[in-house]
Amino acid sequence: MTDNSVKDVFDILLTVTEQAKKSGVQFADARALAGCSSSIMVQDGKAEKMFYNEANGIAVRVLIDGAWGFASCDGFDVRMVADCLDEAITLAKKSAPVVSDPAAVAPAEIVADHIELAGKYAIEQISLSDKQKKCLALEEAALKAGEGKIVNSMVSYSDGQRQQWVVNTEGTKVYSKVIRARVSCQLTAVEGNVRQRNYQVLGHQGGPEILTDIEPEQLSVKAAKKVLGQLRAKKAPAGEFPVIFHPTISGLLAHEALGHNAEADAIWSGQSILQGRIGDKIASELVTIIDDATIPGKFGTEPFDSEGMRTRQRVIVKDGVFEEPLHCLETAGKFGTKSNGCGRAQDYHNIPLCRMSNTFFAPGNSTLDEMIKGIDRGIYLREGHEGYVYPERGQFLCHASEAQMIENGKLGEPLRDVSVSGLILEALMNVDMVGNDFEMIFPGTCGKGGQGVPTDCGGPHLRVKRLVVGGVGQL
Amino acid sequence: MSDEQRAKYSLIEKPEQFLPQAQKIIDLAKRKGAQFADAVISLGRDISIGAEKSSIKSAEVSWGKSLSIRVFIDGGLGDVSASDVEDDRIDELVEKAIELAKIATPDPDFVSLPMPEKPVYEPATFDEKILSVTAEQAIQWMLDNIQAAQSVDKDVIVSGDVGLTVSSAVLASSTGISVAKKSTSIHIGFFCVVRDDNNIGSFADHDSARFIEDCQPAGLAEKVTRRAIDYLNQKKAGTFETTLVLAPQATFSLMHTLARLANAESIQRNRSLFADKLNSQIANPAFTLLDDGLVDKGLSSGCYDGEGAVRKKVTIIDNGRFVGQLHNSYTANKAKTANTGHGLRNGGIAPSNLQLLPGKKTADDIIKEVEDGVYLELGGLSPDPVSGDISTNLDFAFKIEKGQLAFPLANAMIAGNLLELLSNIDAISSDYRYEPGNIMPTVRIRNVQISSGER
Repeated sequence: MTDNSVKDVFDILLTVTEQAKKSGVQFADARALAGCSSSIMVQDGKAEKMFYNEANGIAVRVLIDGAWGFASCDGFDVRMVADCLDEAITLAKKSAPVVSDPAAVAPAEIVADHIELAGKYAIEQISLSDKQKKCLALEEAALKAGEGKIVNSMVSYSDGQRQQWVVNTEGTKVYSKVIRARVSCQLTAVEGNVRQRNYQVLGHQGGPEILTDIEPEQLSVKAAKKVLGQLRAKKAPAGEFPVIFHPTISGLLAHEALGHNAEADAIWSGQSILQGRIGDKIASELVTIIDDATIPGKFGTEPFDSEGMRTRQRVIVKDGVFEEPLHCLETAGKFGTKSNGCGRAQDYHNIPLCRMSNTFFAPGNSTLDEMIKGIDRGIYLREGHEGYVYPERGQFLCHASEAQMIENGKLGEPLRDVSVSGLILEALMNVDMVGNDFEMIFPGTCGKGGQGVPTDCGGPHLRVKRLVVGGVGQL
Repeated sequence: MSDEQRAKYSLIEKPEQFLPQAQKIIDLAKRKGAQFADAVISLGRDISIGAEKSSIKSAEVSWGKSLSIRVFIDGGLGDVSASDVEDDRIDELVEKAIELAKIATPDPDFVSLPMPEKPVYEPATFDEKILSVTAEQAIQWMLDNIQAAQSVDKDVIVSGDVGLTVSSAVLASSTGISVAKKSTSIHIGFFCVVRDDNNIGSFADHDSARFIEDCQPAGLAEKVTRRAIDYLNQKKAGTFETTLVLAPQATFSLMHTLARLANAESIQRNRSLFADKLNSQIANPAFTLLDDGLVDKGLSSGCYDGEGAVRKKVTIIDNGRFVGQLHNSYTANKAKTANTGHGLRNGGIAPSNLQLLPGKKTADDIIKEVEDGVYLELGGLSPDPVSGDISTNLDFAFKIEKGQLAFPLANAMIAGNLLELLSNIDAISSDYRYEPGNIMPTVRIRNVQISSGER
């Protein structure tokens, strides 16, 4: 998009919000997105699939008598956008008489700004052929490191940019352009009758340097070493154990065990175990959990949320006390506070929800050695894979592809595919040591309400006195 | 309905009018050097009414129009997709697809896109009545459900959504396929939370259909609330080996897992647990799993797949033996076998409607025979698709004691391996949950490892 077309899109949105004002709405915003991405899929020695995707469209949202109406369309056609406003108004008016929990929005900070987050290289600065060659080289390096045991190898790379315009009836008028890139390697290995897979991913707010400037050891060779290790690993024992989280999975714990519960829409609607707990001690005093959308280069970083609010750091838990939920305009209105820029939508066909960005445990003072020494029999989880939570009950799960037994204060047998589960408030109270190290390398897509948004998470090593381990019998 | 809306609907209702445009794209791609090409133009409208905190939260409508072009040169794929494409950008996008296909590595395993074929059967997928369901009606369903849920527990927290979708698409290919399809769907789902002092119970359920007559919105949230109450007072049960009974929705999750493992590409690429299991006995002889995308009004029914290939019924597991793979054109040609019509636009493969053939005992009898066990109502076993290893939570589960659901479990986990679990299946129920096209019985599995916190 040229600068002129940036202005053209603003003109369309301003026309819509002006029209909305004339219609007497309480609040309205209009959001345009123009996104494009390319991806390369390398598998078993061939880059046989190349993709390019574009998605452009506009969303219009109105608030009338406490009821929301929302309409969206593909493209920037002025007539279609005008139709969207009419439809949003009609929908809001239809629901207004029956809404029993009227919506409101907090006074919005009026922001008029234009921010671009770029990378070391622009996306088009590296040719697709060069990106493809690097993907093939990464795959080849994995196969070399795989001791002849790798039976399937995949390297995927994607990069893209997203332009966003947000205008609202309060005077907000922001434009942002953010580029992101991600590269991953998945390997399947077989030894005897054991078949295992492992995965390594790197992703950032930035350009193709995440691919061109890395060594295979950082991605594909690492994945190869991991999958070979899994072939020889055992399954975990079942039961309750002390658990140490490596930084690659402590972030997942921060995200699943606390982050989702701190989303203010879940708190307001009674679907979070943290309802009514602001200001309460909910975790060990060693625990500080932060969500920060402003960390340079991280996958969840962006300058404005989907409501045009400036993003910032949010200290969710400080020294064990629940301080700040993640707010969008609506929840901030209901809680009588200001939005902290967490209203994120997957795309223009979706409404903004309260979401995380980059979520992490703040470092403490302990070393990994000190943590291990105090455990007679426990589990050391490495390589976070996935997780989820039921916020209303406060029950979460974190899955690690790689782990290790701890016995008599020493690291023991390698383990594979271990999940741990717990009740959030119990687990956070049971954090008894927090490491003095820190990593954040878990770029991913967080799902909520059918919408996915880019996030990252991290932290130091962390020790929890007791968690349930989904294992098989005794080791 | 306004004149503008009527005009937009008429575009969706008569997708054939976009076939010449799709054909023009194919002709252009061929002129620019494509050896094979196909194009899809899709249109759709979604209405969605959302509820939160037992109130209407949002009323939404979205209109979509998109284009997907695939171009093959020496087997390398260039795949371009875009939203709302104006005619003046077609040339640029076709050029982009050609550029990508030229950069892609040649793939000798690619033989051809599907050839035109007469459908095996044309299942009903479009219900005109769904077009006339208004947002007011959907709001009313939501309100009636909330009210009925509150009659069970006045403080229940209800969230949910009603969705109404109308969509259509045309597909043209360089091999001569030229087809149009249209479909409708309706979905209603609720998640209810109840409290009793510090105890919290929750539950979820949904009803989905392609035809309005197959969907019963009334009473759903009330049913979900009653079940959420049953989930109050969860208890930990220690760590033990036991019998696991999968309720219909948990069974459905297992069925989906098995169908995904039958993905021919994953098998050919050696990254499926079933890669070396073809024609092996993997489950109890009573276990027969079908994929049938040709059921009238079925949720995943349609006579063509995403590549325009004709869909066929596939027996995936026959009396406990893994016998059938799900193919797209690429994997079928590579294996020199018939295409089953399960291809997606992105080159992937997906199952359609799944049916596990019912057994002899009722679900009640299957539970009654369990002296000590666990009943998993919602959620899956989440096995790793390559190793089959399982280590996951049982989020909505009851302890079974003396043939009865005794109490809801807190913080319980399951571990094991999918192949072990399949070989330990010892009963499939005669009664089942039916979601249009999909048959989901109750399944019992012996000798399963459960861990939870100490009682």
